[in-house]
Amino acid sequence: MTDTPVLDVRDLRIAFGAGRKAREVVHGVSFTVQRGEVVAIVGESGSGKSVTALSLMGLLPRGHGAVTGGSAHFEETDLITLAPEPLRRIRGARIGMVFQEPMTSLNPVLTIGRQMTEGMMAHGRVSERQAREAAIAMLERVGIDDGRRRLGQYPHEFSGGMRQRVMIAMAMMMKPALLIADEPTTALDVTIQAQILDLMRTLIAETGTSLILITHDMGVVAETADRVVVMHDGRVVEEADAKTLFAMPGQAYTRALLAAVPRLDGAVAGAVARPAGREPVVRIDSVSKTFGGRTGTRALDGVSLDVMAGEVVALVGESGSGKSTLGRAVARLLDVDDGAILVDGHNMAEMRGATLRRARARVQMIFQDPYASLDPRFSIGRTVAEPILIHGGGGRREASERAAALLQRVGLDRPMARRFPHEFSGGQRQRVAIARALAAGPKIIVADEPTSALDVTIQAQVLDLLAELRDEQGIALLFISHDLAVVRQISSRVAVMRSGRLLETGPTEAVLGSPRHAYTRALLSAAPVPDPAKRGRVRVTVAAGSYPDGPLVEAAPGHWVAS
Amino acid sequence: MWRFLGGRIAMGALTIFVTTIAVTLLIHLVPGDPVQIMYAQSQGTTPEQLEEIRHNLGLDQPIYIQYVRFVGRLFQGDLGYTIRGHQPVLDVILQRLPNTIALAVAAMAVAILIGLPIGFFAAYKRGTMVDTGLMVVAIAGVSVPHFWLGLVLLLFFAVELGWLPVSGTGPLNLVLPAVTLGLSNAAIVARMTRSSMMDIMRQDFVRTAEAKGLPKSVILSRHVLRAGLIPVITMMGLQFAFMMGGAIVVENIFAWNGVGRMAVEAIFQRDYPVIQGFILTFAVVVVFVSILLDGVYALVDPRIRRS
Repeated sequence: MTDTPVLDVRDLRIAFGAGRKAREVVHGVSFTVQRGEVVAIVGESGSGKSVTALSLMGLLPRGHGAVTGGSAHFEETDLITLAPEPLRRIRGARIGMVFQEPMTSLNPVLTIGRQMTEGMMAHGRVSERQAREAAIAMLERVGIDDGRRRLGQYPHEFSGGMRQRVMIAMAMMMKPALLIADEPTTALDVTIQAQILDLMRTLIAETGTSLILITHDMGVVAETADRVVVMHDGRVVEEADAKTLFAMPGQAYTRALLAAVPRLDGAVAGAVARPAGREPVVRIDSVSKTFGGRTGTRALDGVSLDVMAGEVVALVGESGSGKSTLGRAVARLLDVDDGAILVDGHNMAEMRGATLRRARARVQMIFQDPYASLDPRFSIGRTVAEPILIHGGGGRREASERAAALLQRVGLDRPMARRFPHEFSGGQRQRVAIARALAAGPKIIVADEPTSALDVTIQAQVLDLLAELRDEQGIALLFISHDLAVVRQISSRVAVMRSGRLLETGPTEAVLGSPRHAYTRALLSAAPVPDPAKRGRVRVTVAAGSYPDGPLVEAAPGHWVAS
Repeated sequence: MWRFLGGRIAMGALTIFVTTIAVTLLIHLVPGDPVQIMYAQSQGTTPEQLEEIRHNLGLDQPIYIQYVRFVGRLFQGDLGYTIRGHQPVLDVILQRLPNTIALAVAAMAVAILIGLPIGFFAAYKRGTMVDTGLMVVAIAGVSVPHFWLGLVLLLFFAVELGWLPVSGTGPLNLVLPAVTLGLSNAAIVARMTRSSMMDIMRQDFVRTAEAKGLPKSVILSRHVLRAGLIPVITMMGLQFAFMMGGAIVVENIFAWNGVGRMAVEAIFQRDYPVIQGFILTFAVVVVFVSILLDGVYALVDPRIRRS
């Protein structure tokens, strides 16, 4: 490493809005990035980490945000005061950027080839053929074979993980001195995330490019970063070497942030395994479901699973594993092709009309996106009171009284009932969703990735709330998640799914502590560990079709594995 | 893609099928005896003559027989005969249809040539006085009725300045009606283009393009325009149907010899076979144009082309 940093940011200030309404969101941030160094900027939503990155590229939303002070020297040039045209020549060519959403970051109506080559052609004096050759070579580097054919394809012909590879290839083929990656793996499955992080590390090491990694995920930080900048409320709270930061966090905020991260090792706080009831609340009996006709995909393939009263069963797997489909089937939001789902001894699939409507009160759902799952035109009091009215909980007055009590129960103030969803934060909205689910008086709540969209500290609070409700009211929980560390905190049993098949199920400690199925081991090895000392451990990978997925066999008491 | 287009063609066929039923029922929707209404204006028709006409038109048969006969004749390209003049309805329509289509296409061209660049430019200048000014004009454009705009243009360019002919059917005569019909649609196209382009400019992939350091002109012409055109094309299919409807009014103002003018005459004269033929032709043209645009749509959007 040389002494002159690649990037030297000093006292950077950014404000949103203009004139009198201007509100400063980044208050004098300073940090440096050395050649070949990986610097992680971590923080929760609203910390100003993404805004800081966008401002370096001159990509703040036009007319909304603006840099109001400070400097950012990149290779001797101040990016902040640079005129638009010279800045454009640096963008892409000298500083590359990879964004969070691989599904929306590529233009759907242009070929991958066009999108990969246009940057190089706009910057350098290369012919289209040279650019295409470079693109093909780069695709191979990121693990996409048959580049020549792939260049003629469109984004919708690539999976999410593949698109992120394309994005990285696109940024790296320009050989930038600095790559800024804004939550590059947040939208991906753990196994894909592990591959992408490995890929980025290798490319960085080979080319000597510096990397700024913006993330909220401490696991990803520990896996990748040399140095960490912790941001909170638009300020740098702490800056330290990665090993030091994880071993001896200097600031209270950093300690709180690290403590909130669910871990796969160490003690689980407050997971008192409450003895589950004897009676299954939900009995799923060899359920199958195929989407899209005869040639369609088999989302569920002979899945059987019981959930006892007061028990939390976690359903884990990657996207496409069928875990959400199973959850929706339990709530009878979709009909299965084969098999039965008994809720409280009644087959929901056979119910019609008013009987079904009454039965629906027994199964309630909480969804991942607390923004999209609340009606913006309903006050939250009305949202929570609605199920009470529908399921015959008395008159309007009683319903709103009960709704207020429920809001209080989930940790919100009673007067908040008059407010509307946009006035709440993500965590508060998820609390509202929980109150709404409780309002119907359910036996079981199906929670589909309820904390995936939340910051870690908020996630910890919501998980605590769910655990309290389980203990207090004996409500069973079917907890769908891709995050094994979260699952470990809340569930007493785990069921692992892939491609519509149940592969392993058993007590949480047994399945996560001594996994018997190869795929469970692969999932566990892919999960990022918030400890830089454990970096570089061997990852297990399991190709599709190379693992047993036959009927479950009892390997240990209560621990079943596919044979 | 072929499956997509096949589905659209099937939908179109269904639409035309429903239209044939509606057209058969049409005669019976007006209260009273259709034959008496048709011949109300011709004095001295005897009851025997009326009965014979009724028999010739097949109106003495049960309604389903009428329908089967109507569709059967349709397959032979026979739409019946006009009551005034006793000419084949199909000939009368085919003779005038090219004029109406020429008017609609010319008007569409005016709408696109004016509306698309204005909408695109307003989106680029969003939030500025230029944007607001253009959109105020566009709203005014949408609100102006055809007949008023047509008369004003007629007064100014044809009567006052004498640059263009007042009425009739010919290449130069096309200019005023096409502009009349096109201008108010240009306003709609502009508004639609603006909102579509603004939506695209907010997309993540535009930010990606900016992060690549592409020049602004390339981002706008390659990334924004192409993706933003998709909803605009969808809307143009609907626009075209409105355009055909608008043609009825505009043709009458400028005495343009198209099917719209013919239809109005037929309605005044209670010439049912002509009205039926007109409605059916109208439906066929609208269905055909929307299938054509779906094809264009598939060409622009690879997600459809490749599925």
